[in-house]
Amino acid sequence: MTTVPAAAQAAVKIAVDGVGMVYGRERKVQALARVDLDIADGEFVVLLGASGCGKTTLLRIIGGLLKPTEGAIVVDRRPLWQGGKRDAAVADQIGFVFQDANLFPWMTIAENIALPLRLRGATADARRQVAGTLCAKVGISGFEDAYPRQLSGGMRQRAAIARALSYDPSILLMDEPFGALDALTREQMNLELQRIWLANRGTVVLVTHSIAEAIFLADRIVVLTPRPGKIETIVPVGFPRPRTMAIQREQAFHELQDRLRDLLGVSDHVD
Amino acid sequence: MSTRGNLLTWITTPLLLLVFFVCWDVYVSAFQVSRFVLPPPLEVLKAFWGLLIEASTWRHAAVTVYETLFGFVLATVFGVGLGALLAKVPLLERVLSPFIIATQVVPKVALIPLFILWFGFGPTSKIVVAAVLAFFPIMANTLLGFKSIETGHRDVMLSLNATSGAHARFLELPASLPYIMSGMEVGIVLAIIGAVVGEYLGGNVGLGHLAVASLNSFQVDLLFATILLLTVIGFLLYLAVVGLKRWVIPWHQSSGQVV
Repeated sequence: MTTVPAAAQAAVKIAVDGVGMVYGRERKVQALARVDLDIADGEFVVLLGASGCGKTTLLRIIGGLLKPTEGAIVVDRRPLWQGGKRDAAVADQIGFVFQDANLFPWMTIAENIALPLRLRGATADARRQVAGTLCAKVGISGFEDAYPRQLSGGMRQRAAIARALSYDPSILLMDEPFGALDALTREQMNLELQRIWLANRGTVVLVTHSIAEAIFLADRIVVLTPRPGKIETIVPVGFPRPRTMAIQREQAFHELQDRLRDLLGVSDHVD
Repeated sequence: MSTRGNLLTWITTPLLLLVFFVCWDVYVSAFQVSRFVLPPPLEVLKAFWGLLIEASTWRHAAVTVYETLFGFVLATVFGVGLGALLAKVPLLERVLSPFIIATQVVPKVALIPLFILWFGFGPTSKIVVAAVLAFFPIMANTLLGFKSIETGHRDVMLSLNATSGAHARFLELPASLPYIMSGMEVGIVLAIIGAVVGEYLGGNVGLGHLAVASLNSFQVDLLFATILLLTVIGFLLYLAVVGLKRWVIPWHQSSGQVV
């Protein structure tokens, strides 16, 4: 397999092994053709592609929200699916952040963040403490007892990230987490995400259709092309960390951006 | 509602009521309406006061409230239970929905004599009528509530590997509560109607019976007073359910307050 870069000598955390996905019974739609991808421990991988290229499908399969019609997901050498059932021990390793914050409106921010712990039987005190720590970590201290509708979109997404981090998963999967935010908030959130990730050093797989976001965040960018969804190529990103928005002014950034545009089939022509 | 809006209704509601009573009074005296058709408001108020200080009134009222609440609670338990069950088992919904719709198409009030035949002239038959009337909106709204849960919220529980019990407790039930409470708001009103109509048709206690008895003895002012008392009691029961709603789902917009 050619997908692990020479630089990343760390163990393979997630192996995507020949994963294919076909929707529908009569009129079959192939969302993903055989996808092979190894993701190293502690790596930040971005799945980049246009709408409908199957990147969200791939992420949901990696997270166990969808069962692939062929192939397997292997986390720490344990298959995610055992027959028709998800391996709970593997699933517990995975935190998921969605495009919408998906906070429960009837719970306070602290209750939302600590919901995964509640499902795991943690005491109220422990939940309260973790929620407080995480609020500080994602920058929404003081809003523990607020309800989601009292927060802005960016703050809600911060809370959603805190919720996904609450049970300390080793893998964080993010499905266009900042897609619903305005451009300025989005850059801010990219910086914050990098800061949180550098502190934790978990494995992150993030889906986006923003080329700039992909370059800013990724160790490697997996470029997906549609119909059926498959990996076009994998582009390593070498900027040293912590990165700042200043990399956007560098020549290498523009070259990478142009290359990714070409790969995605975005042309400069006005037809 | 804003404080200004609240203040406005505190002024407009009594004012409109006053206008209503004045129009009523003027109409009755100007057109010389017979007292057996429409007694003047003051006489109705007098009869109402007489009703309030009469001990037997409260026995009648207690029976009606008891039947209403008992029927309402039954309707809530079975409505929420069946609604949730149908939402969880789509096959069951498909199998049962023709029958459920059929029970709604039947004019239920026409079944009241049958209930009296089955359950006797006592409170049981009225409780059954109240429950049957209140059941459907609560069941239908529960079903709708469970079906309206956002896919994103379901994804969260799925990604957290939640058991079906946790799913019900932390997501489905709280997410459905606004719908269930709306069903209960409609349900309590229908339960009152069920109990009172049941009392019209059989038995010798309850405010419904009192209304029919007043009519039969040509005490029209007493009939009006009874209707007035029923209105007040109905209003209080409705307010109790709305209060319950605000208490149970303070986070929801329909509760009309920022938490």
